[in-house]
Amino acid sequence: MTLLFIQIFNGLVNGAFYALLSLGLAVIFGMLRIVNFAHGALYMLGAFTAYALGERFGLGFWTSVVIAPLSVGVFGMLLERTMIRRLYDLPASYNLLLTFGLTLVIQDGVRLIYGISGQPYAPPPQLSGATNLGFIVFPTFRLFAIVVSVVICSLTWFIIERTRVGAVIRACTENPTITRAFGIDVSLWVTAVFGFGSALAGLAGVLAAPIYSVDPLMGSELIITTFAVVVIGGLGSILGSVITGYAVGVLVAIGSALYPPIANTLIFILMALVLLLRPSGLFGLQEAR
Amino acid sequence: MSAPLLEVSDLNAWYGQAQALHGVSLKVNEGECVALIGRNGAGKTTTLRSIMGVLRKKTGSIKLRGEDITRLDSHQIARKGLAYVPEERAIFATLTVKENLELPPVWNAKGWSSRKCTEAFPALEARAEHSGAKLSGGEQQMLAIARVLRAGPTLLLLDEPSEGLAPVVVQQIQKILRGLKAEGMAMLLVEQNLHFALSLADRHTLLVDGEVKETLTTAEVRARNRELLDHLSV
Repeated sequence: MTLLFIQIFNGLVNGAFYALLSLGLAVIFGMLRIVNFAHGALYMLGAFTAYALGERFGLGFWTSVVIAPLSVGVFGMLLERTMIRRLYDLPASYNLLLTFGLTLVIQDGVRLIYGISGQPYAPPPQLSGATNLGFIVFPTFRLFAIVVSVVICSLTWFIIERTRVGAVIRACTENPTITRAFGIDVSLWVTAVFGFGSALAGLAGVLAAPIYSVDPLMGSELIITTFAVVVIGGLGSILGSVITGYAVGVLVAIGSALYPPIANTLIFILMALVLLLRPSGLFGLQEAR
Repeated sequence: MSAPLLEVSDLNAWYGQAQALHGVSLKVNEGECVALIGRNGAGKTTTLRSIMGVLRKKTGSIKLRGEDITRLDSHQIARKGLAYVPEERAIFATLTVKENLELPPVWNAKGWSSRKCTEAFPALEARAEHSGAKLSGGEQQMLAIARVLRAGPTLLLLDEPSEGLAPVVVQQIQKILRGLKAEGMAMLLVEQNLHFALSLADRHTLLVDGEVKETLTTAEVRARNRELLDHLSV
């Protein structure tokens, strides 16, 4: 039983990253109709920014967890303003090519500076060690990552579904032409939303840094699973991305305990089933009111 | 003499390669209601969309109180005091009625409060938390008009406000628009329903195949009612 709980919590840790990343992808896709292949690279940039802040300026985790996502968010906004917005009126294949190309450029840029091998990044002293939950003992930093992910995902859902800011974002998504005619500068909102989605990827990267090693390819490995999560949840669905993120994390963790060779394949079997039975994703239609 | 509130000169507009407007010129003075009349495809909606900046492929000049707004983006034009109620009403289905109503930023202190909107259109208050998609056609039109009034516009661009509505709702909308006009709100109205247009407009601009054929007073339209109906039939 303890092993099962440990696997569930391990799954929630992975799910925390899937949820944060797929939430960012969903927010960006919902508004821009762009599948951002560079999202994994932005996640990696978040981790490396934290690492570089520590290595070059001696800044610890608590400072980095604020600065790194903000920096990645600003970088995302620059990408949107200077490159991605030129492709809005072109077929989807152009943005796939651009964002995939950006991934390669960003990864190689980081490799030039830090090399290919993974770099260690220590958790803050306050979150090192383990916590006894009564039924299991689990690493404190991993619990922290789960809590932060749940809080950020819930907050994002609340902002988008229940606030005026969210109403403007939903209006920009549904009918940008008419939203503009109300005096709302949609292009600014698009940039802000892209920046926010990028910042979420950056945050996931900082949280991942102490758990996994920080290496230039860490994003490209994770992004494939994240895309599967987004498809299963429903492309553009906030709620679907988050719930599916955690569910897939737990599914893979339990799968790897029961029969390790099939663990990662499970995600893609699930994706294939969803595409066959419910092409809009598990939450793709329910969320549309 | 002061400049007209809106002055459109030699406006040409295109959808792709197809030219939809050919040198349209018109004026709307402060507090005046001008109706654009003409059959389907005459260029009435295109004229509104061009003025509002929704249609970008255009030449000519559009001035608001003498200021050239031809090349401004749609959101900048809205901030100058123009409000557009499109033919399809464009109620956001993913927003509640309340969110729809409160979406446009208020640019002018004259803008209606949410309370004033629901007093004018009581049906909206009861439906405040419903999705915009669940409103009837009449409720959608009321919401579309109330929504733009919150921003405090100086000129309303109304595209077929009576289209597809029950007579009782048409009367309600007519009453509200008359009230707005009495308060000095200028309007540029696109309307196929000649009776509706006659009840509101001071002048009527007849568009035929994307060109202004003539501009008539309400008395002239009444006198030539039968002849004009030929121009308005689909």
